[in-house]
Amino acid sequence: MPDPCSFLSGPGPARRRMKIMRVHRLKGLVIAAAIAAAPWIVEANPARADDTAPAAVDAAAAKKLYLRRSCIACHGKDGQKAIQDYPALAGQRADYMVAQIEDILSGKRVGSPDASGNPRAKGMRGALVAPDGSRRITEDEVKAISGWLATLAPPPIEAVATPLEPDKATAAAAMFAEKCEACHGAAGREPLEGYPRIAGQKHVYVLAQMKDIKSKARSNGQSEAMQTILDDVSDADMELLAAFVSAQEPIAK
Amino acid sequence: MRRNLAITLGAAALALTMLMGAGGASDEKTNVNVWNAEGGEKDEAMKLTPNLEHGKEVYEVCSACHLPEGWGSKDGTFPQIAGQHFEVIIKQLADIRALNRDNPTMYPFALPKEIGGVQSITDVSAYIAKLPMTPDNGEGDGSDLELGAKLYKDNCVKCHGEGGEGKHEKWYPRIQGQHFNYLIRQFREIKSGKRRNSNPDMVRQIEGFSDRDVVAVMDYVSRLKAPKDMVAPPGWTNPDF
Repeated sequence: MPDPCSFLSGPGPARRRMKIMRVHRLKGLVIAAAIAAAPWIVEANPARADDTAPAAVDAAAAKKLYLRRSCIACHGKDGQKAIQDYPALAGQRADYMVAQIEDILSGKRVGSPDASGNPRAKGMRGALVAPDGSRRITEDEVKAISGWLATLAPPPIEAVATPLEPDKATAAAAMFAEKCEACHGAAGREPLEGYPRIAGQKHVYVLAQMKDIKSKARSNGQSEAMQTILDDVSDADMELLAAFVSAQEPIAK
Repeated sequence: MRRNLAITLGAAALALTMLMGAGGASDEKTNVNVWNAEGGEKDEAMKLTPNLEHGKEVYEVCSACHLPEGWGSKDGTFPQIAGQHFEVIIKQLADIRALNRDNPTMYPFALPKEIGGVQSITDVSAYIAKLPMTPDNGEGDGSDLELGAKLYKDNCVKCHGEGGEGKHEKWYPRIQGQHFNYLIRQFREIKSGKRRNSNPDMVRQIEGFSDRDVVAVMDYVSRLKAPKDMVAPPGWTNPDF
């Protein structure tokens, strides 16, 4: 068990945590206490996204599971080409994916209505939960698939018809540093443990999630911490942040 | 104690979400029956000449859930679609696409963006209709088959036929050899009105069915066998994929 106060000293991620604490203190002590008490905040050294996958991933077996459990239909070959407003998964943190899949299976993660009028993530649940309520994917399979996806190279960033104008890009970068960087890392590349890497993620997905988290349509896992941060972010600013995030190279060049 | 606070806050947020989630868009559409709306892609697709080679290409995306063989899953999560009537597949696909039948898992794949226009509906439906059926579908526990047989004879034969073969020209589906859990789910959704593109005559016909009746008759149906020449040998895999 790490020293609960260890985050107050030491370099790098610890400083980011202090920043989270500062942000949340502005929002009220209750939230700050909740954040401080959450297990993820006292965890020792958050690993880089690439280190989160199990040491030895049986890639062939995991890839087969990815096909057999229908993941490929929505998230595309090797998690690279997700359809609609679904997220790219290649290169995402394994711990984050495991937590999200489990939350979707249990119904903890939903969202605003999708194009079919159903809460987001219900479609995925429909593929992974049988009519009798039993799971069609084991916890170990979730871990294996997530671990494998985490080892894959993220897809190239989307081509954008009209990139952000320079002054807007500068404003977006500053806003990102103020609001998002503490948890998601510089340019969204190196998130804290349990948080997603968002650099280069699909614009339509990032924006939908920000809106859903702000409206509390999605409030699973650590999105509660983000809700308070989004309180005073306007729709226009969310558009700006999404445009900025999705244009960032997933891995620094 | 601080940790408990975090948990309490989380639980409160979850409860709020669930409250807010109730009565969403999909609920409002419930009970507005759209069994056989005239016009639209269903009618158009019916008239086109199928291109099986293109149907095979379109089917690739379907195979992620319905399997390359079109057999779905024995646990009933995904139905068997192999061997279903051409017209029935067109109707269901067009209905899901037009949001006349609620299916959040399949909806994105019914869209033109993923599978193409109306010609794709014709082509993939023709391809699926020709696939041989599974020799090993999910069945019920077989404990109430006498009641199931009687209910079937009194209520279902007129439309779905003695053997559950359906009537293609009337869009009545083949139900023989279908997975039990899938049948149960659809039957309940038809009965409750959740499946809005169901035949109103059937909804009336099954109004008085008890839970025991539903299970008994679906168990009976899951044991109806398709004609031998429509069923694949055990272990068959689709050589197209």
